[in-house]
Amino acid sequence: MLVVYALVRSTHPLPERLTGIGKPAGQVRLVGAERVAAVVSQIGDQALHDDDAIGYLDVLQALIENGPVLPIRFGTLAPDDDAVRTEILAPLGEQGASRLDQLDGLVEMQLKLIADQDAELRDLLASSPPLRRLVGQVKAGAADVSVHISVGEQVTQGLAERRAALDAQVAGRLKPLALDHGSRTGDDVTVLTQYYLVRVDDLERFDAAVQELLEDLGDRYTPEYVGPLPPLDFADAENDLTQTPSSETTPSRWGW
Amino acid sequence: MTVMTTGVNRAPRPSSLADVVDLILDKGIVIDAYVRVSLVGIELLTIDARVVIASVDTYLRFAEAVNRLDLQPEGQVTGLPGMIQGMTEGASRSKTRGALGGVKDKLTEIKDSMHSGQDEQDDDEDESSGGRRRKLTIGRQPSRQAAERSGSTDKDS
Repeated sequence: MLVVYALVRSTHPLPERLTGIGKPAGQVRLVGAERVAAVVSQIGDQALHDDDAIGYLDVLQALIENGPVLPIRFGTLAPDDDAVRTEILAPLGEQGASRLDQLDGLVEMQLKLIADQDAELRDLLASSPPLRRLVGQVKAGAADVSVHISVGEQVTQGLAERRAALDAQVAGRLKPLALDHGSRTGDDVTVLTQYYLVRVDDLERFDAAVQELLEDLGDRYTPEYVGPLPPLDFADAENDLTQTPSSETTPSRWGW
Repeated sequence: MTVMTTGVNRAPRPSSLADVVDLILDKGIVIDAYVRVSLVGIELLTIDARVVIASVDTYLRFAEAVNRLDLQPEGQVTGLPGMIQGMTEGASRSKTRGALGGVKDKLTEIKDSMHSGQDEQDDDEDESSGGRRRKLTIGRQPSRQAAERSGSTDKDS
């Protein structure tokens, strides 16, 4: 079996002695076609575990040092080189090549903001008398589970509104320095994760903008700033392979 | 690529395993024929269950959080963001699994309450309810407790 990690250009220089996931770990190599190659390594018939996720990310991060990388979903296996050529490279090669050109010199940066939940809840209660009344009912002990759910629903909605406002505020500041961006919140809406597609050459400016932003936000949010990452959130075939990033978020001076 | 050094605290990757899994799961190009999903069964289970029940589970959790919060005198609670983050990170893996356990219980409860109205039409379609339950346990055996619960639910109904 072969683990398939990513698509790269056929000319992509591989780091020396890069090993893949699984035990024993196989050598990472390319299965090439004309313009595009798949990055693979040999693996026995074994289940992948959480820590293989780290190994997978290791390989992608080592690859992106040397050129554009189009990640293929974790857990993708192929029986042999021929299958990689006929099932992956043949159908996806052309699109892959053009997406790789688009992603050249770009990396993904992630900014996660974790809100202080108790402070958020206190603010929310303070700003909503109806919600306070409802919580009072629950505390009085008379309320049945539907009131509990209603409280939780209103809290979730309130937090989601705050998260949306934060999302817009942060994106407003960082978007001008990125070519594309997106965001998501966790189920519990106390965490906002934003991801940006940034030119490597602009990383220093982006860092500075993030730092300034975090200073302005204060200690209300605990930040986690991660990167440079392979463009994991910008690789998806259905959405991104067939279209260039929207012109709204693409400054014209880069010409695409 | 050279690593820039600036004042901002930038990590090359997420600090916890759970965050790495979050980072890569569901990302990247899908090659249908070759995605062997069973390899990451536990994570799939998480996602699958989330779709079904996440909202109610979250609602109840927040209701609880609000109640707990309200009981404490003003000013006594000084939430240290750092501490909270530490707790969040430490708990995030178990949170996912714990939430799943909760999901199963909640599902059983909800099924109980729905079944009273639904069972008449489901009686001759035992397979459909079995199918639903199985969907929640892809890649992992249901806990004995959950299995017993479900079993007793079926007997009761």
